[in-house]
Amino acid sequence: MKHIDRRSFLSGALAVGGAAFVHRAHASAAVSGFLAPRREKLPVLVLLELSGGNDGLNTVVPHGDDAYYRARRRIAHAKGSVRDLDGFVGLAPALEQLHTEYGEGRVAIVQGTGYPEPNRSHFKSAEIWHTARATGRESGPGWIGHLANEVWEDEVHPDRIVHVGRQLPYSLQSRRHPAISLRTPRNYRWAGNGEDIAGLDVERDASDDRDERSQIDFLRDVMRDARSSSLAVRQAVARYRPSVEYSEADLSQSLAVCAALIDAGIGCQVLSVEHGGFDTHDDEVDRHARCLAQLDAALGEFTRDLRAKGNDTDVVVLAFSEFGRRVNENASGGTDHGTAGPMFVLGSRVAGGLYGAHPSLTDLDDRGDLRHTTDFRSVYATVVERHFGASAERVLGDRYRALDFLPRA
Amino acid sequence: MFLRTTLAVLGAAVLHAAAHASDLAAAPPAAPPAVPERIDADAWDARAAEHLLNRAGFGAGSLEVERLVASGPEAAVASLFAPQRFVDPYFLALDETLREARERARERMDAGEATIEELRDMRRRMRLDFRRRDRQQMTTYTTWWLQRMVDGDDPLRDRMTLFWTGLFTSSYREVKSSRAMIEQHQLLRGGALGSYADLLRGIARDPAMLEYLDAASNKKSSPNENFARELLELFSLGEGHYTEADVVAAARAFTGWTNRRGETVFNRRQHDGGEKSFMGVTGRLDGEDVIEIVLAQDRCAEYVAGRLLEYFEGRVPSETRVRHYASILRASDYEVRPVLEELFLDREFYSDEVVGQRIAAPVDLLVGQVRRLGIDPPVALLAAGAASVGQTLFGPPSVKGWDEGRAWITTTTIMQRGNLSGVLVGTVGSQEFLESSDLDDALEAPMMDGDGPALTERRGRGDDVVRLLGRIEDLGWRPTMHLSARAARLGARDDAGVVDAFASELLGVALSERSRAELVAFLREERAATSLPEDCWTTFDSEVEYLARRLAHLMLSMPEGQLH
Repeated sequence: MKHIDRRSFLSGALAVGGAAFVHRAHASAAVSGFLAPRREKLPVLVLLELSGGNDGLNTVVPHGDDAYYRARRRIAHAKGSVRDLDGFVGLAPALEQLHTEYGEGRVAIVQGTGYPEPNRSHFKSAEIWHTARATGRESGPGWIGHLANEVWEDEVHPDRIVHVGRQLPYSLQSRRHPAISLRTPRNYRWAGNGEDIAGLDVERDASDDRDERSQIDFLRDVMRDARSSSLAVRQAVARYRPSVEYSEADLSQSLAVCAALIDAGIGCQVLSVEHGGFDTHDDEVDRHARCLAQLDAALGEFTRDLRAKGNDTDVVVLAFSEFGRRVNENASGGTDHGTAGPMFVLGSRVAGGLYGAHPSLTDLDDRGDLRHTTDFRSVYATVVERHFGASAERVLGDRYRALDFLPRA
Repeated sequence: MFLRTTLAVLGAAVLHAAAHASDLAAAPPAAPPAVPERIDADAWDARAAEHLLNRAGFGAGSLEVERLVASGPEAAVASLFAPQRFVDPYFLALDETLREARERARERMDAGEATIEELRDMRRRMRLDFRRRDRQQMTTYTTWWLQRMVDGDDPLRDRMTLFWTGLFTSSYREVKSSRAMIEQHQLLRGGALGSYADLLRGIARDPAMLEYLDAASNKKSSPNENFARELLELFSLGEGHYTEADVVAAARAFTGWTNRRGETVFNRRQHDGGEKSFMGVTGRLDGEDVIEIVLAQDRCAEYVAGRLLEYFEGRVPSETRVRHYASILRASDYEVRPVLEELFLDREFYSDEVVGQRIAAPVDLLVGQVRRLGIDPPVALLAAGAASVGQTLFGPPSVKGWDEGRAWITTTTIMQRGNLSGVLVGTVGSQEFLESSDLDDALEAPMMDGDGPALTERRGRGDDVVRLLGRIEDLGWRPTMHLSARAARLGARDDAGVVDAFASELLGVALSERSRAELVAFLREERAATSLPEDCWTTFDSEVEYLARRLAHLMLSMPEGQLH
């Protein structure tokens, strides 16, 4: 895996020099962002979506169950190669750093997560995970949108919710608390005329009443937020000195941006990244191994970087996938869409260990798929209540029992 | 069919039942409101004409605005209902289905005694190939439609089609058949200026719609119930104007309508022919009866009128006006033309609260800018650009359509909208624009089987724009306008003159005093920085043109550039 040094990381991310923004009189908001003191620690959630449907059984491997080997003669992980956790399950060989992290008690693995009446379509199932509701997008904002409404109400901060990646996931969909979406920090700006825009006066001249704003005032407000937000984000990344070498892979780079944003303390509290390639209908052994290796490396880099800077105490990483895969392998050396799968929660505050019950490989549902043993919304509820101190019932629209991988507030 | 034949006879009874049903939700109807005042000839100026072109079409340059002013309000409105020029309809070839392709291939394989693995391999490749070609057709059709908007041969028709696609939503991602989506679109576009009732009847048995509502809903209940609910909630009455019992009854009435190989057929054996009670009417109702009962509700016309007003005015309409326009719709038997004719002559439509106050949707924004700039970029760029700021044609985010107005504007999109303007003006190329990583290809996730459209979406709309832009630049496209010459032609001699000229040409709304002052100051400073004299606007050199383009880009990135 190719590594880039710190200088390359910074120069790749840096877009425009800071001087241009300082000399214009109207960039006062930007200047104060430059000199503001580090804020107090706020709870931060990093959502990591493994898209395509991660094969849970080949990630958290039930090597103690013969049924696993009977069902997967070609693609099962050899017993000796599995990194054991409790004698029954173990982590896939590719998850070396995660295994170490688990050993230090900072990884909670929730087994068999899913929901009733599982949907095996990527889009529909993803919608359910993104909204925490069976009706999906029709129900309204994403679950983070609901979280934002509950925790921050009308107090909107443009940098609070950030997606680093290609397409904004619906989890972050919110009208009141719109999320930033950027592929690289360089993207998150006015291109070509950034300096010209920086020179404009977009201060309010009318009333402070938010709801009565004219269209022009509303647009000026957003422009002002965009200007300072773009500057804050890009400066955060430019000024950041990572304490580890992040690899060039997409996920590593995205998490590096997250680490920079967390370190800068500009107010980001929900960060979202995506890692794809998990739809392993064929050639699973190689493809899945590659995906997991990238995941392992990126998470390792990220968690070590946060710890080295003392930024880890209030950060929780939550990794999930829109469904698991079928128990039996198919005829193409892969697996097809399934149901339940594991969720991973990482962080210094996390009480590491295995949670939930591993789903039975023999008592399957009427489609021959795993029956979930923990509703994924219990995991969300735990984060909502014990990390953000908010009402899980209001955020998720229903009651779900919290788990103990985070201490009670 | 029971009710249709007796509807005329039982008309009074139905309306009574209908009124009873709508009483469940609304207060008894008030006395009819006064007829709204019409805009008079004196008030019909460039501002009014431009406003009409912005809302009823996709904007226009000053020449077209002047022509419309000269013709007077009534003639101007009338001209919107006839195409400016005739364009051949889209040719939809009857291509073989995936099943047929597989049959053909299997025959070939049988002859050569292929192994099971080879067969499986072949099938997978066929599926991927089919999906790819299907996506290509969807793209081709999308660009065809966008080209119609850019060319402006039938602006009101395209504007209304855009409106209908936001009401009768379907999405290519769920329907997965470009043919079905195109045929649905042709239904909507063909009937865009006709009768809403006909559209409702047509859409209720449209294969793409049935597939979409079945696929788009998560509820485990019968597919017909999903359809019945959306029909009532989103297509005709709106939430709160029917009961759950009505949904269940309608679902029963719609049983038997199934999608077979891209066509909707009625299977009598699957139809529940029993007695049902729907919105106060009892009988052995079928799907068509349900639609007629819905159309007989006062509330239906109010719902449609309300949606039309909100769309064209960009604000929530008052109940009085909704009731007035609903009565027109009802009186015309759901023909939309009389409603639009009246709205476009309504003095309120030209009030300060409406003119220049609508946040342009991405398609409105880009098509409008292209028309006002007078350039002809590859339309695929506009499609990708609109998608990158939240409006994917044939891909609304949910069955509720797109969230309009201020929802289009976030910190991310307001910058990206400005960037797209820069692309059109020629000050932003693929280099300055979003960075595209070489690692994309190396790490690209393999195609997900059966999920063709998904992959494009997952690769990100930003990437599409950059890649497209790069390809277009390789082909040598550059915007071929000469803005400084245009400024000179418009008589601009100094900084303020240039700003005014560009504002009237390139913006769909009036420039505020503040913004105007900013832009004049910008020009003055930039000229000083590059040592250009104040009368440089009559010399057509590249320095001046570059400055003119920067001015245009800046102007289009400002708040006024987002409104129409």
